[in-house]
Amino acid sequence: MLLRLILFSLATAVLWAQTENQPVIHKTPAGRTSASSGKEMYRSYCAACHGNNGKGDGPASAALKSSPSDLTVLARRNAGKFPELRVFTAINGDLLVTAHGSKDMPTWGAVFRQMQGSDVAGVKLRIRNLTKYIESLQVD
Amino acid sequence: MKHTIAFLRLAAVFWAALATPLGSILLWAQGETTSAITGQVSDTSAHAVDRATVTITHRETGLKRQAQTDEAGRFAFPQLRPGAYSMRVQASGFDEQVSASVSAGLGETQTVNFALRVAAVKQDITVSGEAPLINVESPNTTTTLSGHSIQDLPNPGGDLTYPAQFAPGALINTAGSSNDFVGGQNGYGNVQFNGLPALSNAYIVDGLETNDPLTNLNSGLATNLVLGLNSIEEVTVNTTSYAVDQGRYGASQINYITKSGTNTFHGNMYELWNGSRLNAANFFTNATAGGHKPRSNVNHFGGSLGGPIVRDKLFFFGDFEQMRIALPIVNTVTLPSAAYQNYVLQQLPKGGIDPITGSSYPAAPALVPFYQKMFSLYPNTAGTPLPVLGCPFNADNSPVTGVPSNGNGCANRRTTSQSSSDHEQVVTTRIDHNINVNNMVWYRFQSDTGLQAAYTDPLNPLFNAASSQPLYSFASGYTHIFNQNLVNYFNPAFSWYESLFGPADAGKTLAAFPIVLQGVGSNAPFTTMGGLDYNWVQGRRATRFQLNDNLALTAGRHQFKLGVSSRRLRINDYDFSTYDTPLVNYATLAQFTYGVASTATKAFPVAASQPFNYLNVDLFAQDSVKLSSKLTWTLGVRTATNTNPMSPHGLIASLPGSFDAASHNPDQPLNQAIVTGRKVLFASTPLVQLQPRTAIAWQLAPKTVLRSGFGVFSDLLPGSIVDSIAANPPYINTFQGGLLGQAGGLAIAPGVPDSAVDATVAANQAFLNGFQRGALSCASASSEPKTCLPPVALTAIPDGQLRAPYFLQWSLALERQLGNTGTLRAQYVGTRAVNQPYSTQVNGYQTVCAGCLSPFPYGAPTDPRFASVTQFTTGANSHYSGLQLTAEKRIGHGLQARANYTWSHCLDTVSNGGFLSFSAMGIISPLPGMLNRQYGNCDYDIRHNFNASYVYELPVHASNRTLAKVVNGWQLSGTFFFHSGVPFSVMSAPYSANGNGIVQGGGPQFASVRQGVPLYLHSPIPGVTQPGTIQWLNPDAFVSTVDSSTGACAGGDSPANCQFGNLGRNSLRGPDFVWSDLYVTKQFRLGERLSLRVGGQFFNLLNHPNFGLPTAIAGIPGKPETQVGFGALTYTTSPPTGLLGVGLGGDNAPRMIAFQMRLEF
Repeated sequence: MLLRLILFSLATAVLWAQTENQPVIHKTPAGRTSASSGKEMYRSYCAACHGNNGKGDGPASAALKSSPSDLTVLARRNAGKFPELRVFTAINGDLLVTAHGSKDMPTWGAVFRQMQGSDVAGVKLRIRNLTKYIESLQVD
Repeated sequence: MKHTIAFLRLAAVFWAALATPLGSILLWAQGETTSAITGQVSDTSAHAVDRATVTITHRETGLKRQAQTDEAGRFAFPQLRPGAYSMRVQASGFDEQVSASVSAGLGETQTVNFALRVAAVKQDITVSGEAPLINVESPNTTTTLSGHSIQDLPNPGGDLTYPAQFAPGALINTAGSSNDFVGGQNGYGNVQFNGLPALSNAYIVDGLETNDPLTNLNSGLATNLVLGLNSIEEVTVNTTSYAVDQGRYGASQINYITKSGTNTFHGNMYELWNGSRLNAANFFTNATAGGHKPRSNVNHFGGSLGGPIVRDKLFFFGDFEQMRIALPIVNTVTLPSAAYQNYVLQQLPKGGIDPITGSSYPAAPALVPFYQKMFSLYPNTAGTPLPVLGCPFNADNSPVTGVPSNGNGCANRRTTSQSSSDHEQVVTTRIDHNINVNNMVWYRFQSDTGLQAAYTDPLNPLFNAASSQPLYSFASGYTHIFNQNLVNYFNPAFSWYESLFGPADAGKTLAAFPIVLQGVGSNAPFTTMGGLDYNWVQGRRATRFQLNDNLALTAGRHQFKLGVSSRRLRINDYDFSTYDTPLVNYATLAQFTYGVASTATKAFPVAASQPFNYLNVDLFAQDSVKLSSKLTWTLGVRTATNTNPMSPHGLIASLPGSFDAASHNPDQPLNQAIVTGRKVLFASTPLVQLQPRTAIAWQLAPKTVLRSGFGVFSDLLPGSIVDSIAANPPYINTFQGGLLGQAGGLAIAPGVPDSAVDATVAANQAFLNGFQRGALSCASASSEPKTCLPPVALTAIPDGQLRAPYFLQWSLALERQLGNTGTLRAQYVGTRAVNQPYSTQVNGYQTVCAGCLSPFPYGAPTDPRFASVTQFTTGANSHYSGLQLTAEKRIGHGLQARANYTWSHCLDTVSNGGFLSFSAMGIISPLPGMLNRQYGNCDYDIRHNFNASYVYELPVHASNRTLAKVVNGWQLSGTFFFHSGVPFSVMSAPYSANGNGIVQGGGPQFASVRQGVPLYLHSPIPGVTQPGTIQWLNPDAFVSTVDSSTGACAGGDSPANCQFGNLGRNSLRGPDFVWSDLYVTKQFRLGERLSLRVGGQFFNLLNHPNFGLPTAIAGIPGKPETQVGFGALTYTTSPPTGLLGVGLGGDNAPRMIAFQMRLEF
């Protein structure tokens, strides 16, 4: 019984320590970026979770139960070909990318639509440039 | 000394009290402070912690005091109220420490020390995941509503235009009556912005402009609602659209984007039901003895499904929606009794004397078969006997003595009820194809079909009129991304719709009864036979091709946009058939008895319909440059080319220019005065209209943006301009036979001897022959009486090139983000409309006395060759200034809300674009030559206008599964509208004494106002206020020029007495409008991705009666008989859309409750 209590206390202490060090995520409205710059958009909107290098090790990743995808190996996992349409649709919000059992990844298509007003092409350009930037992060 | 110490203590406590929000309570507590708490704060190494914040809370009262530690880590709370305290110590870099209970006894000093632990390192990460609350670059005033948030709000009728009511500056149109359609006879346009016409809002779905090209209004079809809301992903409302890729219409661009399929299947199914048992009765139904609530039933249902065809590449989305409305149409009809029918059949071969007029009517035996057929079309004619002047016998067959006789045996009155059913269904399908990340294309098809019971005849369903109003549209969008800086969007679209009104089988209907027989006046009591057949077929078919292209290039700090927006319209106009089926009037019972036409009006269009073509090409170029990281300057120009409306068959006839510029020499033959064979409507139209626009968006602070701009916007003439000008003779001629007509003839039926209808046929043939050979008008002294041409009515065009209407807009806005979910915006908007269209009756005259009723000439028209002449011109203008305040809260803590308040003033000479009035009492046709006399408050000059919407998810989250099923998932949402009164004018009674008055002329005949007399009086006035109505105006404050009891000018007919009054246009105000809807829903989770929402929508939640404008024909003070009913509120009003459709005969004004179920997956 005592052993159980000690183990339980230790486990609680470890979990407590993990919680103590876990980052606190504040969701905020997206900042303004250039639609032409996939890099700028990535840094502003994606890097917090996916990391600057796209490895899924962004500072917010520790707060997610499911780690964000490693975006650098998307091509490797797809027989060497970058799955651009899948990435495009994922950014647009057409995929149910789940973390914490819910749709944690923002529906960027909707966010960009509000940024661009009624400019349909502007929304597509943003998603395309973001997709192209993620493609540039691929490792061999 | 004792007093000094006490004073110092008091002063110390006073200042301490002021330093805290709870000061007033502390002030009360100071007399009991006889204890203290002191102590020291250190870290775990016993080093003093300075600047730590120590807060103590008195546990009984909750009073707090706060102190900071000094360099030695010490703190002190003297003069404390004795009791138990909790203490909290906070210091930067250390964990917070709390001591739950510290006792400070009376007269004691309690010492409490704290040892703080170093805090663990924490990281705050900011993750972007929501759209920006304020756009720091956009020049436009933009409101965006997602499809989800639209679905969450109560929406009367589920109308697509409704979301626009919540944009800044939006004014909901409540200026019609509740059962007249906005888009019908009482108020056009569902929403209005910034002092500009409600006909200048663009409703654009996936790039396809859906405005009705004939009116420029939102295009309602079978239910007169704009359906399809369930297929909408998002709505964006742009006002002050300085970005030139927007702004073809000046007031607003309302852009709808339809939903797309995704990689997962999703969709919904829903049903909304309302029955009259769930509706309150109208205020006036309750106020009228014997009034009863009409029955009705509404079913509105549909569903959608979207998903992948090929994952990541090809998606589909489909939506189906249907609305079914059942409305019984209740009428009181007056029918010829069986005895009277026999009497007529006996009298027709004999002829007789009219006891009312004394006229002798000839025998007309040839009419007997016509009457027999007509009588067979009546339903059962039993009912309550009705006395009719001229009826020679009673219902009991007893003869009536006296001249004229007034028996009750000729007519019976009773109530009839017919079933009227309207339905409309919309099917939307969309395919999205991601070819690759540089090429994407989508296609959308929509069909909207239905059936509108346009007219339900109380006598015979043979005369019912219906309209199926099908619409088929296609739109597509192709995005091609050249590189990261250059993208092109190509957006072609097409639509075709038909909106024709008429009997189901016009041939059968006219074979059964070839005319419309209508009684005029109280001595001709029978309900009209033939319904509204003289109007049919009416409507249009419209085909629209659109090509839009938008090229966007980002180059450094610049973002360039180049584009084209073009539309080709083809309207096949069926509005020329009015009176193609003759309208025959009779004025006395004897005229009915002996088959005599008082008038028989028939038109002779060269064709039942005529096609007209228009082309619009807009080009635009714009640069948005970031002058600095915080300042964006947008500069652009849009050019609009609106071609001259063209008749491909060359069937336009008109004067060469304006009526004023025409020769009024009566000896000039009509075929020289009227130019025929024209292919275009106006002499010429501007090649282009330049519309420069510029704006800045300046980020003054991280969360504050200042926006300002100025722009020119073109305004479009509605297609209905062709209705009048293309109806000119000789292509459409209208003649009148009968006793009072010029064409002659007496008999009411065609094809019988001395037929008044046949006489119009002969008159038309004579006119056509005479016109062709250059015969003189009968107004010429040199004309031949037998072959001269009678006066003809026409519409005149302006001189020279059309002065195209346009708008100027300017604005200054300050917008600030509040926290992470809120925004506040204050905006000044100014607008000016220039060259607005209007029409006047320029060939009118009066027959009262020389110098009377100015500006109408006495005795004869300006040009006696013409009857009424409508002069179309442009030149009206408006000015508007408004302060708009907007507060918006995005979802947070379960609440999202939006509120707009506008304080504004609008002045103009003609409102709403000059064709279709915004308000039930709007004046769009001024007196000839007196446009400036019209300058006054706009029809939509609403000083205070407030609207709000909210969605609140109740914060109940029970964890017990059973309890959760009951208490979790509740949501309240609602809308609220308030605006101050709609302006209107008070008029004089029309002159009618001795058959005199104004002939073939028109315009507002204003009454006079008496100085010093209150304008408004809200209490009933005996003898004036009619039972069941509400008095609004003071009858004694207004004086009519004409005494309605005599029909002559008050004080006698003289130039001094017979002038229109001094009251200004729209100088009075109707009642305020207050309206609130509530939507209560409960969501049931049926699975991970399946939920059921059950709820009720409550429209006009508080059942608040909103009244329309009062009756406003003034009387004569001191003569109550002339004031009866004046200034009284007699009908209710409501938002422009409703559960019972729009203009179908249903009453949407009282409280209505609709149940809704919605399955979502």
